[in-house]
Amino acid sequence: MDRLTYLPPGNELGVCVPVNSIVGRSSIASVGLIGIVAYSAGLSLRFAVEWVDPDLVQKAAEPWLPFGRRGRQFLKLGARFADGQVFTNVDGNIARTLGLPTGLREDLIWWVPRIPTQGGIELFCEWPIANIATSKLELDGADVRRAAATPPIQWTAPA
Amino acid sequence: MSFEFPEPPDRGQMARRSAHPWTDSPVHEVGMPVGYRFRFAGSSSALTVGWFVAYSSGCEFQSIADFMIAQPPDNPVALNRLRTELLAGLNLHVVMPDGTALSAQSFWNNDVEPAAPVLTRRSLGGGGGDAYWRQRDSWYLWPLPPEGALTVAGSWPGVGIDGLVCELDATLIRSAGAESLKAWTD
Repeated sequence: MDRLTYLPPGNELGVCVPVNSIVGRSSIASVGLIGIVAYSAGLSLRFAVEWVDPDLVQKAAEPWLPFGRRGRQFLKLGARFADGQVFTNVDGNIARTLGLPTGLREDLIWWVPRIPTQGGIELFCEWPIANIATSKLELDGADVRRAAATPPIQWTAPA
Repeated sequence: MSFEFPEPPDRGQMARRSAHPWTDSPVHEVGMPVGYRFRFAGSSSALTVGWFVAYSSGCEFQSIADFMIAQPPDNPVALNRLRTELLAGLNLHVVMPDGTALSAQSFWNNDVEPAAPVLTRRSLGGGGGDAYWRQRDSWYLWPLPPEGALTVAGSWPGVGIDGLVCELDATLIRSAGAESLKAWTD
């Protein structure tokens, strides 16, 4: 088995899988999926995290990372493939922010370092401070596998 | 002696920058991606344009600029200045289907609604080592373009990238915008 990677390959363009859906939601916050970029080595998932209380993210202290001052209040993400592989941002790659929050939204990129070999993908999220209990989104894995199987546009990294 | 420290700003206030329709994607909307991705390469640099996401009233895309400095100065201040100068030379603009060319305005200090259409550039940060740097920017086009051929064009002459052209079908972007979701429907 290849070693798990922390980031998408820096010398590969990737193929976009156009999909959007709500992964989890409460009355005060929402976690939405905005697309997947498939690479030969894994999937880059983009999430739009939105909230209605401007103070929510301040209360969370470290809302995106597993070592926040408020303990386990950070936004947890998980992916379970039909072939049995499971990835989380608790014991795997962290989700990285895209720039600064713009008031009521922050976008996250999360790298899942594998491609599902069969069946669908279950995405999970849980965000206690935003009252989002464990929520699940089921995705068809065929589009993802097809994108990942597209011959990658690659290049040699500059030396 | 004593040091006088100013009161720290209210972190909540810092996060409450008002979102504007001409600079930000619509509040509480989960956009729909459009699958365009482009890459342009110089001898020791590259610019990737992609991550197009359409919303009900605008379209975002992102650029990633990768470059290597051949002989990085040892002085970190001089190195940072050189990086800043190189990145300042990266210029993208959008040509609308009717031929109107839009240069990017800054994400900051634009509270007065401008005449549409508007292209806004926002830095998403960067990182790297001594010689290498990767910078990510977000570009937001408001409102959605009319149907027809849309072009993202530009140049980055400081790293040998010139005449880059991304040809897009605005019809696809408009269709994706119609599939943008509301985070809450009630």
